[in-house]
Amino acid sequence: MRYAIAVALALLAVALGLSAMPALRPWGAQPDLALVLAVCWALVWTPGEGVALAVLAGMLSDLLGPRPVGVSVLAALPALLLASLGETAIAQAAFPAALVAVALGTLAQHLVLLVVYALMGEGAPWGDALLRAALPAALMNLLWTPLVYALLRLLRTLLGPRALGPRLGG
Amino acid sequence: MVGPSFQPQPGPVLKWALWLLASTALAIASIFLSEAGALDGLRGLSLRAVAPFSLALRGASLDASDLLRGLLRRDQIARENEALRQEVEALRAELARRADASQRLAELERLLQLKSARPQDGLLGARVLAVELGPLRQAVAIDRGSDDGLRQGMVVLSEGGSLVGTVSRLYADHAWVTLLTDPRSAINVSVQTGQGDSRGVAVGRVGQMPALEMVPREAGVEDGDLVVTSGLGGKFPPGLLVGVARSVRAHPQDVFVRAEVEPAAPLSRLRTVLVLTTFQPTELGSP
Repeated sequence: MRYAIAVALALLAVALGLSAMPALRPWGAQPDLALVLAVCWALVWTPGEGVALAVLAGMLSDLLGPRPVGVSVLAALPALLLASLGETAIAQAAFPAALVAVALGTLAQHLVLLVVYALMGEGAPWGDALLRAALPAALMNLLWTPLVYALLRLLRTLLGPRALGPRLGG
Repeated sequence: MVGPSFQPQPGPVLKWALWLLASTALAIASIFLSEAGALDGLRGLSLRAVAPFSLALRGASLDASDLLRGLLRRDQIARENEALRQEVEALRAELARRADASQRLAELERLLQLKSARPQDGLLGARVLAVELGPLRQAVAIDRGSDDGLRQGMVVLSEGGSLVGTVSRLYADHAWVTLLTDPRSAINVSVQTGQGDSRGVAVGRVGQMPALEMVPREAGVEDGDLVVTSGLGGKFPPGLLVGVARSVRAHPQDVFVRAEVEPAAPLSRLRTVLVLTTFQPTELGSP
């Protein structure tokens, strides 16, 4: 059951990112809901499921966007790695771990994107990109994290302990 | 008697590492496949499949956004409305004057048996299927592709006729249009100042409006001056409205004006665009 919900949420996050979010961009920045969802899912359930969500949402988002397919997955992995560290190190403080993983993960995401674009010969000025792209994106993702995290905690409570099932990928 | 046997099980850390490694390998392989064009068919199929849902969602969010803006900026909208009424009136007067002038020009052309150097613009309407407005990439997907006669580099306009961008990635049934605000964009422009036209370049930037560069300080650029394509370089026809000059700063020690170009086309709210099919962009060689 929760896998079906995860897939539906990932699809919704991608669809919103390509349709509604560009129209509703407060302060000119747009949240990466798929990344926030994957990180929060990794902390509420398992890191492996978070990675699976990031792969699904990233692939779909790239297929529907102008980027090379796979680049969003690669860029999201550092955030998931941070989330897995958060899960093992401070399991009792999953929400702060989510905030840290989302903030640092978004910065790492932009670094990966910049490296990939630079390797493709389409690099952007790094200073500008970090200051005007990575930081606003990190702040915007941070703003959405409490909402997404709370939603997933509620979902976990509603589904009950039986919904936990097998742990995917660790 | 046989004692208990232990099967070595991979630990959670190892499992997790393998999981991460597999995802990285998948991502890198996809990037190579995608750049080789092996996933083009899948891209088109995916975009087509989600288009109805995406269009509905986008339409609803644009309406919601309009409503919210309207509520938050009611007084400002009333003032803008009044200013627009006055502008429309002034433009009508200007149009009437120009219609008269163009009629006289047509008469003169007939007399001199001259033909217009530029054929009538051919425009192809296209729906916006998806929007990417990230700070590193700014593009929209449209539902027209090479099957509809589109070619790489074709110029794309808004419904109002101002510049949106150029066709950058072409597929059989859809295309991606790189917006004029994309950090990779550079457009030769002409600024219509009170002292005449002055040439420069509108350069896309990360997370900001395009910068107006190479316009001499003496040109006298002011906030609100119109910025149009100059036609230099052969990638855009001359005279297309790009936007207006904003945040103009001209220090005495500067050689060039520092300014931004506010795009005239509502790039984040596009629903339909027009592809200029009769203008063929040219790639100029070295002199």
